[in-house]
Amino acid sequence: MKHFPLLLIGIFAVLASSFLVFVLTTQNQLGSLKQSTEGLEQNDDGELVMIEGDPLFPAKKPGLADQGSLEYIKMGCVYCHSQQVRRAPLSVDIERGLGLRVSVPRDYILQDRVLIGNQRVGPDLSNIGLRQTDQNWHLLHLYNPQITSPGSLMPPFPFLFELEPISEATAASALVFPEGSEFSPEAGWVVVPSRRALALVEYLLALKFDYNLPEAIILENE
Amino acid sequence: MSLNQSADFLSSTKPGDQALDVVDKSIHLSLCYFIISGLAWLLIGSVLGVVGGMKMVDPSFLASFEFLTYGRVQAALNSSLMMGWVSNIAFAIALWIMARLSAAPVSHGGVLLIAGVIWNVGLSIGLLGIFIGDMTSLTWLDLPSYTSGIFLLSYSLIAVWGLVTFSNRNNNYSFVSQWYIIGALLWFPWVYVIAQFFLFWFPVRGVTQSIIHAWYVNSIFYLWIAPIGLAAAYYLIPKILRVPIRAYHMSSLAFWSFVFFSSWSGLFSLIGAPVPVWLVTVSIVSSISLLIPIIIYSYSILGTLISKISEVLKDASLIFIAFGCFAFIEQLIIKVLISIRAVDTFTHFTLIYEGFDWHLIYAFFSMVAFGVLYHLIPQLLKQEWASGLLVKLHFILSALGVSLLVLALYIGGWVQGMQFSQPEVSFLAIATDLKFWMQLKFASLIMLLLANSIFVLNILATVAQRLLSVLPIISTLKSNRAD
Repeated sequence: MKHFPLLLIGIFAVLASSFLVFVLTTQNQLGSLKQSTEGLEQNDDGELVMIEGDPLFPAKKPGLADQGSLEYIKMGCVYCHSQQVRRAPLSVDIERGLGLRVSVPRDYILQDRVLIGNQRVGPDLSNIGLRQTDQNWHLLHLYNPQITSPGSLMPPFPFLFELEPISEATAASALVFPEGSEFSPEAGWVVVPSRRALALVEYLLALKFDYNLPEAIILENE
Repeated sequence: MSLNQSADFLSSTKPGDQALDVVDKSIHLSLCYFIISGLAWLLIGSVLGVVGGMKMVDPSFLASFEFLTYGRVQAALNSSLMMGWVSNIAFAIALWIMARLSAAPVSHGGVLLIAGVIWNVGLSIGLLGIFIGDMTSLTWLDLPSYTSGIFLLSYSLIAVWGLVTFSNRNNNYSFVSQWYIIGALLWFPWVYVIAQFFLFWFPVRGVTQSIIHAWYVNSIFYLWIAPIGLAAAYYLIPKILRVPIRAYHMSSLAFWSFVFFSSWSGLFSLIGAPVPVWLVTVSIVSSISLLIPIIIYSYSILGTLISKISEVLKDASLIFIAFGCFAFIEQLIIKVLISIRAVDTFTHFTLIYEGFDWHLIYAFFSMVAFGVLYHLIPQLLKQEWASGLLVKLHFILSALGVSLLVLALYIGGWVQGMQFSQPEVSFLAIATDLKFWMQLKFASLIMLLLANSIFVLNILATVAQRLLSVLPIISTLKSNRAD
């Protein structure tokens, strides 16, 4: 190739084209997505508009859950967990009970960092707040997954908890271990979750696509 | 460039050529620096790989250290491989081949050294950041975004030097390796800045982030790592074998079709994800179109290697490069396969994607890079390898290790994917079945750590021999002077 400028133009064109298609048009297509009501209605002009007064979805998450999402990022949970429900026939996610409906772009618009993930060494977490609603279960599972899910590949996160002598103050927030668990602390001691553990669990409990969107309706089970 | 010219290029790069000595000397110091840093990061990466592998075999391993959660170890491993080992060696390969093919010495090589130091300081800060929890949790872009400025500063110096060398070239033709290097040097900063800009500096909303992330990962693999590896293969295979690359006139078609279709195929990893389907479909079509460069590469690169297979097997450098080139074609074929929706049904979210990354970074790029180093280090040191046995051991352990690693992840991933498609099999059962494949992965990572330690040991021994052979001369000179 004797024409250096041609080479440069080609090199530029290759990346420019893929940038235009994949980055700019995506931003154009999805960048203006807003929260929506679960259903839409026709106005006088015959256009579909949001139903006035209905709540908007996806809803903003509580503050503690927001802090939990930072812990999720800091711990690197995304290296094993995805957060997306794929459509049939590409997957059997819904049959498996990973969610009530497929996930759509609008579900993610309020997240500061979108972590849809690409690994499922652990289960999908997009609806973990629907599958496991018990805070104590989540705390035990974080403290040591072998307590709730023997054989799991998930590492324990003991540094998110404190071992403290039993007292009135600590007993209230302490983890409740299953009867005779080999992981329970010695008599006179309790395991107390740190604020970070509570935030992370709050975040997990808030992970649920349990609302309808105009483009993604939850179908009732027959 | 015609075949005659390529023969010309072969004869003009004979070792011991005086003009070449000038070229080599001009970047001697920076080459040594990039190679040493690359190898240091490779060793760090190998250790992190073993730690991460062990954590998957025994989840309680080192679990009480917060800075070593599995996610952080993975992030640190990715970064030390991508920004440490791969990038440092890519700089060395790019600058060396560029200077050689342009037959032009690199002026002010000291700037490269400074740039290299900045790069590695940035990476060290970034790794510390990962360990204290500042990582981004976006794979292959794991380093905290506050390091991006450091990388960009250092990178612009290195890339500008490479391009200036090309524009100062003392011949009026260009060889295919130069196109790949120029492309890679220009694409990397662009892709990197776009990702940083849209993901961290002014984050876009929603799944557009995931699309840009997927686009970034694909671009960094196929527009940065792969071109440098290909440039090295295109340069060294004809040089060592002393035959032109077969069907060289096709290499321009291979170049343009590869870079175009691979840059458009980025979203194949988002099949079924909550993103616009047309984008994914465009990616799938581009991915399948990669069959064009696959056929040309197979015919020209693999064909040249196979036609001289007995010589390839005798040469330490070529045997690594040959392994890497075969791995590259395999990786591209797998890319085509897993971007078909029917196959994706069984491969999505599985270990196959992890194996796929290792396949490109290690089985292809790292093996080609080892091949380059086996050729380059004796020239830099003016000393033959200290131990031929260690060279063989390094090859056998690397080849076995990375083959086992990739196979374990592919087969384990396929089993995992089959189980995903059976709703009655619980996640816990699937995870339990993964343990066997995780043990294989762990064993193969240990083999790679061993292989890389052997390689570094051999280099140290060679350096020591060189010093021993030089020292008596120096001391004689000194004593003569004293007399």
